[in-house]
Amino acid sequence: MSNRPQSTPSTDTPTTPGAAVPAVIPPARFEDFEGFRETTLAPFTDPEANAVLRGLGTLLYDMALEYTAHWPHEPCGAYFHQVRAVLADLRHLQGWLAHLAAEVSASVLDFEEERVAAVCGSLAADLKTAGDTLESQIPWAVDPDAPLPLAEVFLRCDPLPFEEQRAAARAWVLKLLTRGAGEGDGNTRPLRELRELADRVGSFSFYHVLGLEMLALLREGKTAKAFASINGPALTAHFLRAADVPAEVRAHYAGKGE
Amino acid sequence: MDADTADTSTPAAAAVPPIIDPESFHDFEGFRETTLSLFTDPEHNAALRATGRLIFTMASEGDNEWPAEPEGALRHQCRAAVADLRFLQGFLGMLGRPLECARAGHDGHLARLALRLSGQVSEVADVLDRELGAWRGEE
Repeated sequence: MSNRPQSTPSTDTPTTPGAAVPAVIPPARFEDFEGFRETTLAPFTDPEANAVLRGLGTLLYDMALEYTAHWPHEPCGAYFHQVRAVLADLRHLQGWLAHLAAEVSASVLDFEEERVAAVCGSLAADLKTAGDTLESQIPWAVDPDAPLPLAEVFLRCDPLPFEEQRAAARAWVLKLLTRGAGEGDGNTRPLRELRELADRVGSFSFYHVLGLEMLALLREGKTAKAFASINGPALTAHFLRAADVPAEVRAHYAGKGE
Repeated sequence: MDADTADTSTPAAAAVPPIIDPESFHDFEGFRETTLSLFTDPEHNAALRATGRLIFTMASEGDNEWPAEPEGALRHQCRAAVADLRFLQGFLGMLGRPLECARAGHDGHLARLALRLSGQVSEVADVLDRELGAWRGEE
């Protein structure tokens, strides 16, 4: 990590002779500003107090980066975990901007401040839209009943015995389907993704069980013709052609993909 | 894990970023969620969260002898919001870096979305920045 902010206010945190003001953050250097939120640091106009907290935040972040190996792994993986953190921070800022907009009626503002407050109101709405967009992509972050990402389900279920894998796969696929994944041709995307992941693993894995269970569920709800139109029989045969498919798996799904 | 109750929805014993109701944003002052997300040990995460909140609460008491905000409270807070927006713009840009965008499936899709949202957050910050103008209270 380069160009860490100094523990005393620098060009990143311009000050009057006596007051610390919020930093000017170049987005490309965002990592130098982990730690406390600027909205939290803002009340600390005392430059020394501000710099101490800034330094503490940086220190804790750097130490945490070194120490994360000792803590529980992020459910859903590091990437989704970070996305989830961004969503939380977006919602926080959305609230802050709405609060600043509400100052019009809560405080006595001058003309210029009133104009800025009005802008804050419309920007809060823009951030809400951005947050909603992100939230729709990671529904499990806000809804414990939403299906988890494939990678996380795989991590949890791949080591299980077949019958437990099958039950977990069925539960996951049902959640997916009840949320509209199977509407129209909406089931082709998850099926394609499952096939790609299964092929990438090579030998038999939980991805095969997920694919086979999804196909079995779709077959239950469709006519043979409709099932054939989504390439169901061929896909079932493809999943069962994988190397080292256990006999009990082959026996269970035999005849279910026709 | 029982066959009928295979749990695919509850995360393991790890602290995860909270769902923030924007109306309760004041309850989440202190550390950035992107910083707290590193602390997956629930006890450590809760301790830091509480420390951050306590520090903000104490600072907001108003009974201190610190210098007044050079531009006034509202503009000072707007500057802080701009700084936090720039931070998020950068973070989203990092999530949407080319290597991530090139990934297959949902991960790649999400990375490309993050990159697009980085641009939207940038626009939000630009608007507020423009309204605040160039004066930062420095003499």
